[in-house]
Amino acid sequence: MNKRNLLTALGIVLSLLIAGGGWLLTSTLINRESDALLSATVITPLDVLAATPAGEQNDAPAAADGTKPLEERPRLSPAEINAILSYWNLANEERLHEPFGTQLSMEQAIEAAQTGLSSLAKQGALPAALLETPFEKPFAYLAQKFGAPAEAASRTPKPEMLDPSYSYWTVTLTNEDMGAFLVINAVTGQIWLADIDVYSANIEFGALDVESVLGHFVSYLGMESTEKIGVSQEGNYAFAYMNLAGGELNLSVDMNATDTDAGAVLSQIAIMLEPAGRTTTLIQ
Amino acid sequence: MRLFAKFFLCATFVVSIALLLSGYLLITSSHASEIRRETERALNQYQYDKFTVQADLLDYAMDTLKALDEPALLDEPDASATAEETATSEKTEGASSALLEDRAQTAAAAAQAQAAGIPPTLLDDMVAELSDLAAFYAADKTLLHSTLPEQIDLSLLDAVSDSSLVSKIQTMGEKDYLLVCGKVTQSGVSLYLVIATDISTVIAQKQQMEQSFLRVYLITLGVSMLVVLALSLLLTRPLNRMNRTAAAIARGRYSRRLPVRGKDEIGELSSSFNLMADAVEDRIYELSEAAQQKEDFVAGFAHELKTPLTSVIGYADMLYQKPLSPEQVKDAAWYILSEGLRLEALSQKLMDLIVLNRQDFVLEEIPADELLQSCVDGLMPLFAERKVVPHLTADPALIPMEYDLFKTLLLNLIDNAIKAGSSEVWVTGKRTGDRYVVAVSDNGRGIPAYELSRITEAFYMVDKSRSRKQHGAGLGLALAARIAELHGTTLRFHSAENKGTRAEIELSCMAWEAWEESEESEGGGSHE
Repeated sequence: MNKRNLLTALGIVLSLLIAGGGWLLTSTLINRESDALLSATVITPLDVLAATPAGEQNDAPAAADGTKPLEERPRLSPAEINAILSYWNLANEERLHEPFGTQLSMEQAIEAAQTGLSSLAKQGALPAALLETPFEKPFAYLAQKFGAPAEAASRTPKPEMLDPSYSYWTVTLTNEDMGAFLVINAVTGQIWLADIDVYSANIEFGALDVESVLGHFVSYLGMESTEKIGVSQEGNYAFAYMNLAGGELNLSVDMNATDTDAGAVLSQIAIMLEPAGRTTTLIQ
Repeated sequence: MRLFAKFFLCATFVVSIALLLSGYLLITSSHASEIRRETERALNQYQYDKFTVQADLLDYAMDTLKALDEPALLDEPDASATAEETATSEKTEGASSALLEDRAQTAAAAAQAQAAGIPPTLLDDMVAELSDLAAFYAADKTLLHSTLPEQIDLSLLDAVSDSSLVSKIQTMGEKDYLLVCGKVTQSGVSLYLVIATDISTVIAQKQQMEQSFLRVYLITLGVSMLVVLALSLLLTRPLNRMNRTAAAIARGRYSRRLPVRGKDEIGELSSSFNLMADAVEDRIYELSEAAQQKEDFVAGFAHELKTPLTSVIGYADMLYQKPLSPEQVKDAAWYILSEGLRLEALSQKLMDLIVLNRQDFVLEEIPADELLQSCVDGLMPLFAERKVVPHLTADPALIPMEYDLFKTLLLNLIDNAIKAGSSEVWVTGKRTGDRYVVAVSDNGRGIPAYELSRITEAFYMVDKSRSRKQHGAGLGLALAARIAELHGTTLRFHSAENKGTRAEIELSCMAWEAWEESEESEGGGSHE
């Protein structure tokens, strides 16, 4: 009987030892795992190489592209532009990356932005007065979207980089009179979105005709429109839109004004190129 | 070790291992996931900061280029410019005069020259624009500017290349930082950019998770141990009950059984145990019965020996002691022989009756009057010894009986009558129609009324001391009752204290005349 009770007591003690010792062991393992994680040096390849299939070379290395003027940059067809814009609408997440393939460098992107604005101002799509003062420190970053529903469904944490034309530069240019946020296609250098806040109180709201701004931008894009322009104007808000390229794309212009003592002055211009609601097919 | 302790040990082991394994996986995967998420965030942030620095360098290069195009600006330095910027612009002016032919090369060279000693204000501005703590290192890994709490391990910069970033966690001061190092090249200027993101909360979160898990582990383990202990005691309770019941049965309480609750394994075991206990009890009963029967047989036979032996001894003594006539010698020898033969037959029949419980004895038609006469004659020595006067009256009739057993019954009744202290014993056989009543009456001490119902119990004696003095064992009437049962009848007793007792037995009979007629019609025969 004593031996049995002794064994029973030993069994209970052993249980407690297993419980306590197990925790100590687990804690030690956790700490060891954590220490290994915290002391590791991780080398992360830049997303540049991820876009280049193994064994293939870029047709136009970045250095060569740096010398190609903007007007000689490759053009995208309306269908391609539609596909890119549609994908941008579906994907919610953004990743910054280095330029690769045929993409513009930062310098080129800023130059493309400035040149584009100048071109639009020359044509009368933008008040020339806005560009009289030089731009202060510009800022730009290159990014590509990801996280479209199809990618989310496949549970891919971070899919491979897409074609270079799916990237965009966001360029911010500011001077005394305006602040412009521009989205520029990373390959063509074209402005596809321009959101301009006007600080100057000198520009009358009526100085710009929204319909003509639309038309000038179509010219800037190098496209033709044969469809009727839709225009809406009410108080300090004007809106115009048109379909381009046989219905592939939709271009819209918003203009807002602020009432001042001198009357309604232009406060904002937004120009946006959008897909016309077709099914997205990624450019291969 | 007790079974409940084994359950407890096994369950504790299993629960501990399961909890610890799940906790380990949960904490390590969560921590790794958090580190991974922070690293992703830091890498993205690094890229953004890199663009910021590139933009600043580009802007600086453009400003420098502009300054080269507009030398007049150099004569009117900006009042807010620092002395270093002034020295830099003067240096630029000196350089530009030598490289006017190629403006781009000049600008790049100027930028490169300036990179070696980028104005601290520019570095300050760049750092101020960055969201995290940062440091700039020159291409030769000399520190240009830093807002980091401590110097970093410069070996990190060795791992940086044009196509990769390096990230590492380092403790600086009392906090943990995730460092991301990379190269920034813009407008001919090449720098190492290091940004540091405070991830102390992530580290602290892991420790909090550990502590929380420890609490959960202890509570869960404690509760589960209590539950397991209770369950194991509950599960082993039926086994303990079974153990106690088995012990009770082993101690002789054969009627103990287990309650059968449910149809699980315990229920089945209880049912099987009960079946086993039933079988054991039945077997014990059979063995007890057999042992009792053997004992009864031995006792019965020993008892039955006494009376015939008394006759045999009596007649043998008579032959030995007294000179007898040849007729008397022959009679005496005949009684001795007949009693001896009867005993021989009786032993087997008692065996059959008591031990084997045999019920199928063959009953023969025996003349009752002759049987009664034979009994009285056989006990004459005993009558003489006890000074008892026998009286015999018997109607002739044939009664179906097993001769030896029925004679034993009668001898027992007469023997009891003699032992009752009687002076006279009446043995009667009376026929009434087809019924025959054999009775043995005496004028002895009688039997109290309250004992009459028990006198046929084995080993029961009315007056134990007197019976033992007379070598009685209390078996005679028990055996007589069994013999009566065998003949399909029962013994009846009538008694009055100090007046005597009458024992009678009633059987079916056939009149002697009727039997003779039937024998004659069948061609005759003789009876024994």
